[in-house]
Amino acid sequence: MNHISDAELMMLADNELPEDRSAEVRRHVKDCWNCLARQAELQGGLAEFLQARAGAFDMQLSAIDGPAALLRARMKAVRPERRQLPWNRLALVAAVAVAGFWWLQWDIEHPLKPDSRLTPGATMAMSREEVCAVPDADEMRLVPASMAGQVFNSYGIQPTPRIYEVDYLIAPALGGATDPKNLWPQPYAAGVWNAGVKDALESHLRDLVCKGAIDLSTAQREIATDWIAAYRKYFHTDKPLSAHASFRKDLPWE
Amino acid sequence: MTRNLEIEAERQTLADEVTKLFQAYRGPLLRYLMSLGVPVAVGEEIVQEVFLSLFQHLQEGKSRANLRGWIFRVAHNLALKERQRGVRRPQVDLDEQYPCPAPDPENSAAESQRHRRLMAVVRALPQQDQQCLHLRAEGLRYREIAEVLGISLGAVALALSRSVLKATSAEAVR
Ligand SMILES: [Zn+2]
Repeated sequence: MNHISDAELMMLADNELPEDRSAEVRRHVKDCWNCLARQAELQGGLAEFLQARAGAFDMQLSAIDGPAALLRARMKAVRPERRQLPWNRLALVAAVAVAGFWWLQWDIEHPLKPDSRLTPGATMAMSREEVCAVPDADEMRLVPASMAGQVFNSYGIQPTPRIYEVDYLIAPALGGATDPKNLWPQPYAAGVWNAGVKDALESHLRDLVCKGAIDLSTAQREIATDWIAAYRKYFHTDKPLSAHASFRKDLPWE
Repeated sequence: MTRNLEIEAERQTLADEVTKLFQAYRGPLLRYLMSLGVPVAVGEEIVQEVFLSLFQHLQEGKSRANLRGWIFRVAHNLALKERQRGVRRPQVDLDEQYPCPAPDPENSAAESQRHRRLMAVVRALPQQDQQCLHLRAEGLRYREIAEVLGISLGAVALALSRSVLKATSAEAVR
């Protein structure tokens, strides 16, 4: 049986694991001396750090009254926002509508690939061992909202709930970085080469990497260059397998 | 006329709300900023700026989701900007930045010495690992830490486990 990684034990200690995974991990740790010992070390280490840090920052902050009064005075001085003129907004809506339409057109005519100028792919400096130590969970893939906005912007797309997800080109589970260069807006439903199919490929490649069947850098390069070609190669098929069409891991963009 | 009064009342309510948040988070933010190497006086200014931006943010009717994460993210970014601006200023020595723990009768001398050494190991960790540790210490959830630093949740978990082990095992070797 595989042991639980330090990262996951840390998440367990901090109550950060999704419920079902947490139950699984607890069951394992209960019967495994190795994991139990590492969990104790992590938990104790964190507690010790928190204590040491509390001591280091146990200084006298000046009383809060002065700074609070200053803030109130400054807030008072902020001029009320002038409402945006309606024609301004209309122009924006029109521009967005055109962009949306253009994207739809593009989407029908082309299989779903990211724009290599905007999204060439970016990786974290992680070894195979490190990559395989981090659990492959949905939660790991949350993109900060501010960065997701940036990605939609660079592709000229209005974020539409439950239609696009901002997807990693190289998934974090394969060492992909949370970086606009590695993110692109992927429509959920369109075509056969959809997000579910790509997720299935990522899972498969990760298994191969962690089993030692292929190099991490090879997996990263192939998925960044042409994920559809990689899918065809690794699943020995021209079309997505039917089980993969509904493979769903990511949360819809909200 | 009544419209103006309404707007004024709305501003009042918002200012009260922001003041409450200021009271709750000024300390944690100041500690986090100092851990980034920002001097206290500059930290106080940054915290003011954070809450003024929050006031404007809320006034424009923008998202109230995860305000704590928002507050820390803005403070983090301002601190980085401050650091870039401050290159010409004499560099603050991080060792002097962290004040020495006051002698605590409850703690044995050996324990406070061990804690000082542990903090020295932490200061030698990569920047981002330190930031993860300090944000975790201020009670942020991994999701919030990820948002503040613009990294994935997995990277947060990895950084925390790695640095906790490094800090405490280096500590034991000495
Ligand atoms: Zn185990």
